[in-house]
Amino acid sequence: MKRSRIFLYLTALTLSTLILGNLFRSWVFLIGAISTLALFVAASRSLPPDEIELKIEREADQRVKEVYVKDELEMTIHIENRGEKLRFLEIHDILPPLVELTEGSNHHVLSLDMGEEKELNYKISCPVTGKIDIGPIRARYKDGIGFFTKELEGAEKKRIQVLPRTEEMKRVDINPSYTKHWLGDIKSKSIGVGSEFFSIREYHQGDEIKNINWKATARYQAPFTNEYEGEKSGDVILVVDGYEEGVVGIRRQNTLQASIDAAASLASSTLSARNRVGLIVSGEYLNWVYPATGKNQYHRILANLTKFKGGGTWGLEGIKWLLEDFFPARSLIIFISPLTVPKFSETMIDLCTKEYDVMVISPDPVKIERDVIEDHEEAIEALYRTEREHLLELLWRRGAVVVDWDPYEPLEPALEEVLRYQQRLKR
Amino acid sequence: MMSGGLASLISMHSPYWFFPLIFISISLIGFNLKKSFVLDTGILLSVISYLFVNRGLQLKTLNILYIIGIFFLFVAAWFCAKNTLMVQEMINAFEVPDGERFVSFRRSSLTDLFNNLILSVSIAVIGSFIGIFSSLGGGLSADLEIILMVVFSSLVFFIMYVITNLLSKRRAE
Repeated sequence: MKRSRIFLYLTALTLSTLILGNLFRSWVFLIGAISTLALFVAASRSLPPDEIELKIEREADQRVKEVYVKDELEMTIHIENRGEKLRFLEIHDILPPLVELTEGSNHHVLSLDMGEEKELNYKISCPVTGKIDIGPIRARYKDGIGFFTKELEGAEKKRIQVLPRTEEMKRVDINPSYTKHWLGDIKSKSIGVGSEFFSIREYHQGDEIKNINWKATARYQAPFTNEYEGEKSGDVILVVDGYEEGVVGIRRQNTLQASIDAAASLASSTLSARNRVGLIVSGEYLNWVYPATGKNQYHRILANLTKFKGGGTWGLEGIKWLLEDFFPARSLIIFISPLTVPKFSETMIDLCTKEYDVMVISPDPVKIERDVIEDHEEAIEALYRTEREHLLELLWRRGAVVVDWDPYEPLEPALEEVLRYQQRLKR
Repeated sequence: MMSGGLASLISMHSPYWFFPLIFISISLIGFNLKKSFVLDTGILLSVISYLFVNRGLQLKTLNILYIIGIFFLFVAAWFCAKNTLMVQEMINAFEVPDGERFVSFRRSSLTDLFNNLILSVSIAVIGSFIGIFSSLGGGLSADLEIILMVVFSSLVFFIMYVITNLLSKRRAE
């Protein structure tokens, strides 16, 4: 229990009145001393109860340990007073700085009778990915004057993982040009297992009865079998640029967060087409996930994106050796980078000349800067925009598919437009 | 400010009548700047200066009540100021201010404060009369004075016990 400084002042007042009373031999100071001592007696009424039995529990919605970025999470604090009446109880559930309070309050002052229970509710959301610790819950008894403060035990911290937001992209097909021999959704323009009719041929022993083309058989008086276009899949590697000097924006809103959200959406879309998807993140550290398929792979990629932090000195040029030595050749490499560091484009161009498909999705840093910074110079912005357009055009000419993406808009329409344009060019 | 002004007004017979007014102004500055130390020191000095200014008062029942009254006026102003600063601090600490919550807290804490003050005044009045008449006489019989002295001494021991109990409570980390 903490005593406030009032006691120090009351003690000083008592002593000074006693000393001055003796010095001046005056009854007035004696009255002062007696009155001050009376205050001490009255203060003893404000003592916190000896036995404070408080049960504090935090219940998160559905025992959730994972939420998506900007999703609301409801927190409930259940308080039960099993001891004496508490007149002034302060309850504070400590929230990390980035977490936003969307409804209710995490800080209350209330009184609880003996045996009384109360529930406090509030909602939070987090604008960035990562692991966040909610709490601990601090409880403090205070009297009305502030004589005494007693800290009480509350509930422990609760860890929540904030996952990147995934955008559903049903209208775009992002597929590598080079397919591998395993089944997928990409039309391989060769005969194989699939659902699209390709051609017919003479029946060979062992062909399935269901594949016999009865019309052709009737016409030519000999059995003919249908052949189908093989559907295969390929490898897609997502590369997220988190290089420290290249990130633009503030902690709540920056190009890295936009890149992480884009990577999560692309991973979901390409995995659902039965491609093998891998991930490379470069920032605070260099980390990767080897290509694989399935839901587990999606969770592995999400887990890596969630804990990924920007910073460090791992630039994109260092990724080349990783790609060439550890990742399969002839993959579709999707770079997600704001392209604020010019030397990274050289890596991309270099990869275009090798047997890789390169796609560059670039969240526009100017749009983010304009939103977070009030003072921005138009001239510098125009100059940067010209440089960026020039770089994007250079990447196009070298064979990369480039998507200049406004991070405040959905990614799918931007991708759709670019892929349609690419199809028209091919024709 | 009112308590300091009143104290100075009533003490105009003394050459140092303006002392309480000066020190209460200091505490007012501390209250406005939300500096607790300045507020507390100002009040402490104004109480002491008020007692000092009135040290030559004649021993009469009315004067005893007058001294106690003004003393507790200072104390009431002090505690109200502390309560206001505490509530303000709590409001600033809250992420989402909720006036409703603080109105009820303020109401119950001020009720508590005034209950404590009334109790203090009662103890002070009784204790003062017992103390004064037991130690300084006042026309009472010797037996009565002895009884009053015993009662006063018992009260002093009781208060010492309370203070020792209060001050010896373990400080929380």
